[in-house]
Amino acid sequence: MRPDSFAVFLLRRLVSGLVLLAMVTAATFVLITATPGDTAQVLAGQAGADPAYLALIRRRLQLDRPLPYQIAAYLRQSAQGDLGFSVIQGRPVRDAIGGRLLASLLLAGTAFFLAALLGVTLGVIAAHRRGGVVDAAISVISLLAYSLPVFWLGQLLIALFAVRLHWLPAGGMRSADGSGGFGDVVHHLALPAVTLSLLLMALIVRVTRTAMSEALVEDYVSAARAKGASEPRVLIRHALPNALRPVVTVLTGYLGLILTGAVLVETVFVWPGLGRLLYDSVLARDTPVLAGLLLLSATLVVAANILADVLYRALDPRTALR
Amino acid sequence: MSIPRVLLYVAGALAAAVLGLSATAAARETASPPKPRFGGTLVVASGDPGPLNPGITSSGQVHPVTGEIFSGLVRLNRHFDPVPDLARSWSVSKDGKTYTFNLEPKVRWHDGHVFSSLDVKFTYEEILLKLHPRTRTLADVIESIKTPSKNVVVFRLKHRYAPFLTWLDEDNGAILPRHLYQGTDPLTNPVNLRPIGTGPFKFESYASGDRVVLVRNADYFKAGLPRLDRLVFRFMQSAQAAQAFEAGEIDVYMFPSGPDSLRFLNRPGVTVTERGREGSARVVPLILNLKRSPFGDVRVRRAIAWALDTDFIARTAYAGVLKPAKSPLTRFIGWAYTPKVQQYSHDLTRANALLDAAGLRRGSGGGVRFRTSLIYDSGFARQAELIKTQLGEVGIGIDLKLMDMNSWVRKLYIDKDFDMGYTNFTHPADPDVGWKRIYVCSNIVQAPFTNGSQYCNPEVDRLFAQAAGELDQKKRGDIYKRLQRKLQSDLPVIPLVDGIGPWIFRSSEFRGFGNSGSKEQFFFGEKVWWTKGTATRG
Repeated sequence: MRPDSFAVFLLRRLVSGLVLLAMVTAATFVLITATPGDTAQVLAGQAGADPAYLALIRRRLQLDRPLPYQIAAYLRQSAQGDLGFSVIQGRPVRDAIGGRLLASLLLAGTAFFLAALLGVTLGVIAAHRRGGVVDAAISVISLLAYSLPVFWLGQLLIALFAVRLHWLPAGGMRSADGSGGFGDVVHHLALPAVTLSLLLMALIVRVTRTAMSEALVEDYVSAARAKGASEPRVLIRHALPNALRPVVTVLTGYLGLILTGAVLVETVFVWPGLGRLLYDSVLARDTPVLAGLLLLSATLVVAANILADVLYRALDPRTALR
Repeated sequence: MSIPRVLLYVAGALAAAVLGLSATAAARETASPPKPRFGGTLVVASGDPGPLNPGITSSGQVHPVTGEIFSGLVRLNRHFDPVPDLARSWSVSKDGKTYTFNLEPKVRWHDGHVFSSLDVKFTYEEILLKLHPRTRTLADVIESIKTPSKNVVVFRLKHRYAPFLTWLDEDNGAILPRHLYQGTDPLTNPVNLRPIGTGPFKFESYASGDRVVLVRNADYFKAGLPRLDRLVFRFMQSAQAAQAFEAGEIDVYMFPSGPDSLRFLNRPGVTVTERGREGSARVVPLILNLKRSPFGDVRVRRAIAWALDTDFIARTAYAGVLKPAKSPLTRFIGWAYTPKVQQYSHDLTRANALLDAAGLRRGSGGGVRFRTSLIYDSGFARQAELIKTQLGEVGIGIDLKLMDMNSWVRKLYIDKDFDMGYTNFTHPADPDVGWKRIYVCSNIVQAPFTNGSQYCNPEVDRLFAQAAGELDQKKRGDIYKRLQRKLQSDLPVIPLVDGIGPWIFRSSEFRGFGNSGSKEQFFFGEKVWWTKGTATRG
């Protein structure tokens, strides 16, 4: 690919991305329909509704239409920006997802920032002190963070900081008194953000350490040191930019999943985000919301991949020549 | 054995010991209460309800919220007797087919509109009898609804129907505002997300996935109520609710697990009690598919009943919170309940003899008589393990099939593709409402929570119909007792445990729970008060 064909490349990626999204949507419908239970059954609760009631609700919600018809109708309306109406939520899908988006962005963004900042910093330190005590300590910490199940770790943090010490709240995004100010939200954000960030942070530490270890033995690093560059400058200006490519791969790979992938953390910490909406929608067989969420998630994955390609070019202009 | 039995015995004994004290705790809470105070915010852990329209669902997540916003014509007291709510009084004609309700005269909807009998007629005719999954069965009972005046509504029934009044509470008969629902689709009406009712609390806000906030209705038609300023329903699951309660972030924990009930029992300032939840009493049965061999043979069903140790199951799997079932009907419907039925105490000799007699002999070396399977969801995991162990002792091999709730409901009730299953069958208020559905021939349908065992006995159907038309409660009770004896002999389902399950509240700060009715989890906010509130309404 020639360097000046980037626009063509981007266009091709966008078109293939749209096709992929349509396929994901169709697959979502097939999977949900193949799963037992539907909205009518959930509305009935445990009351023991009669078949006539179930048929009535299914007819009203068009759940009795053939699957290809449902998929085609959904693709047509979603292309026009209409994601449908959720009877379970009692609101348009756009509102149901939009109402949770800010909470998810806040949690995922904070966790992402923490993971990237700490992960890269610790990875660089570990590579710099390779083989020493600090390297070993960072390795152990990252291994632990990577291995601990988030639901277990979350419960542990709640038991310690909320139940025993009363320093931080056990869950939710705002206090019950409804204050909900910036400080109140940050107070509630601390535990879930730390919990969510740990796994990604551990991964970034490992990747950064390996990439930095390789970079630090390259000739250009020796040359920089020979020119008398300070050690921080050698690490940050010379070695790190070259070590960042695999880190970008990891980060962008998670970017697409982090919004709807925080199901466990959001459940443990009662965080009103998209992860819990996804979980609740699966249980309630809420097809419109599920389809909307999976469409959003798939869009983010596609966008993150395109972003990764763009960042590769920025970090290493040689990729444009390949 | 999959669970160390000694450990379970010890846990069960401890559980039984501490639960024995729950009545004492409740008594402390309710004995000579001090004068109620005013103000305060009560925080309740609950599920995310979705649309707040009580007329279109019987969901257990919706009604604890809507019960504070809406009213029914009546409420049910702790003995399941109807007491006034929107209807201040009523009379029944001599033939038992006409019910005349005199409505409260000065009721206004939360948006200021005047409430009238037209709201009642509209709600029943256009919403409840069409769209409420349970109440729509009354369409076969109600002949007409007339509104001779603004404050009078008359229901004419097609035939005598004894449990009629028990259907008219908020749970099954919430009255909705005609001026906001007429000409709309009740399933999608935006009012469902900003409801307008006549109840003690007004809707303030609903943050999806987070909370519903209600505020005091200063114009509530019951003078001096409610006492609290605000009710906040925070959405969380059971494990999170337990932690939030520990951390002091919620005041009411509505549906605790057995272990959590024990954990908070005897905690200073905390009350664990079943009072006020009698309307949620349930019997949990093992459901057998009578269309599949060998469960069509009553000797096999009785052998299973003899082989099961329900005392042990109640003590361990339910932490002693629920008791061994002594009848197919819950003991909480006292006027209809009898324990004087065939009891199947744990007796392996009898079980083995019956299985031998049914031709299901063990293979050489005391092997398995026959293999079968049990389908269940995660709420029944420990019970399933115990049942497998206990029936294994008489040579019945069980494959456990754990699945999610929707799959399990489909297998059991829609496809009837199962050998054994289970269900938490609540018997709310009247045997005709929640109990009959398990047994009658007409309820062998492809719909959830119906007659899954496919038991059909014309004599049983006849007795249920006779009981529904009998207005004398004593005579009605006698018919239901006959039914219990018959069903405990036929055993289409095997009753395992009977009970309610407590709720937990912070009684150091909030009082007034557990005295108002048998479904108080749907309207506790009306009378609860904060101990740190003001002596008078400021």
